[in-house]
Amino acid sequence: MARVSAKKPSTGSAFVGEAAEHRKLLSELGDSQVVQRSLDGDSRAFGELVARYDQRLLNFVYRTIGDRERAQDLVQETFVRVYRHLQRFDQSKKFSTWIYTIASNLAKNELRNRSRNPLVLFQTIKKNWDADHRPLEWEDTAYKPDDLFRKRHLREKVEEAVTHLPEHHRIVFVLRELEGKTYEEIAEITGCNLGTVKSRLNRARNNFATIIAPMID
Amino acid sequence: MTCTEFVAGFSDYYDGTATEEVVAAAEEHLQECESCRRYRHVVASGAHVLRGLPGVELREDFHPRLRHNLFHVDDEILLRRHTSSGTTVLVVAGMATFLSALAWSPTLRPSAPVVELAPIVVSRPVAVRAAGLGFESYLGVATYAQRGLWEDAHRLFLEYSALSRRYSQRPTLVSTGLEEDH
Repeated sequence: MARVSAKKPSTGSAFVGEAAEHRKLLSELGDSQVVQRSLDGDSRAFGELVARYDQRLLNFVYRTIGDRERAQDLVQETFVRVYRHLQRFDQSKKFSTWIYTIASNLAKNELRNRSRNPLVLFQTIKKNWDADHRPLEWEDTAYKPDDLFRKRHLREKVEEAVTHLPEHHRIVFVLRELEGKTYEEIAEITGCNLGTVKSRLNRARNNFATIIAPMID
Repeated sequence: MTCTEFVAGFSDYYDGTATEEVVAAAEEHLQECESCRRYRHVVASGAHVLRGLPGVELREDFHPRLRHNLFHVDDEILLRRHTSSGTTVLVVAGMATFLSALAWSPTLRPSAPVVELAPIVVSRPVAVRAAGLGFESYLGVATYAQRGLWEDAHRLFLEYSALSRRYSQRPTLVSTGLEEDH
């Protein structure tokens, strides 16, 4: 790999200990410092960025496009793009906003392509159909079956409500409700102005509430 | 504050970005309005359930695949650096110049000397009247005409033989009647 540490690798347990110590050191740094280290040739720094964002990005992309397998591919692609263009990243800005912008653009492209390809749409529907027919999971014996059913039904309805939101509302809604992004960050990620973000979020919440209201006591 | 105003400014109120006056007005409205209280409860509960949904697990091969992909990116970057370096450009340009010079060298050489040869005078062939055919022909062709074109026609029939036998037959078959007599 091009970004190789300048340090000579040690051997045996000393090397393992050194690696662990290095990882610990990286985990204590802020995103921009880790980015700088990666640019300086520290090969473990990019791994730290991946560790910080892989799961978060996966959930974000999955909630946006609704397809687990494809979400994995898109997150891969996000990291590849970040790696390729890391030197272009403006370090006066937040790294998380930048990486979410890349992931969000890929997710938007995916949704656009999918709307043109009926086969992909069918596969997604089929996948959801399979999930509907899985047996009930007995997570807690204290719950009665009807409670479990109600709980699962509510979860399904909530998931469904998110997928039913229009694409541009959904991205804003997921970024706010799941990722906890501020309005300013959402505006930057989606490339919209603050007013548009607020209005989309308000509409998304309104639609969301309309769908799930019958299931909420 | 009316219900419509409350719903329209709900996100600002809910996310804590509204001004103190707006928050106070919204709180006041909520105390009076059951349906807006319900609306806030539904949004909050729904968001709570959404956050509690199980996340997607990374596939086992996610990191090995990513390492593999990044390796290719590095490879590509290194290759680009090599191809865009000044030395490589000079070497390529030099080779291109050399090859084009080599290709154009025949045209670059001084042209070959012109040698003037004495003109060749060709005498008119002897015309022979073809016997029996009533036309003039030149020597050689005339021999067939003089002999009669169809005299050896019966020998042509020898050409017809079964394919299986054709290669085992004597070279007499080569004789088609068109060769000159010896």
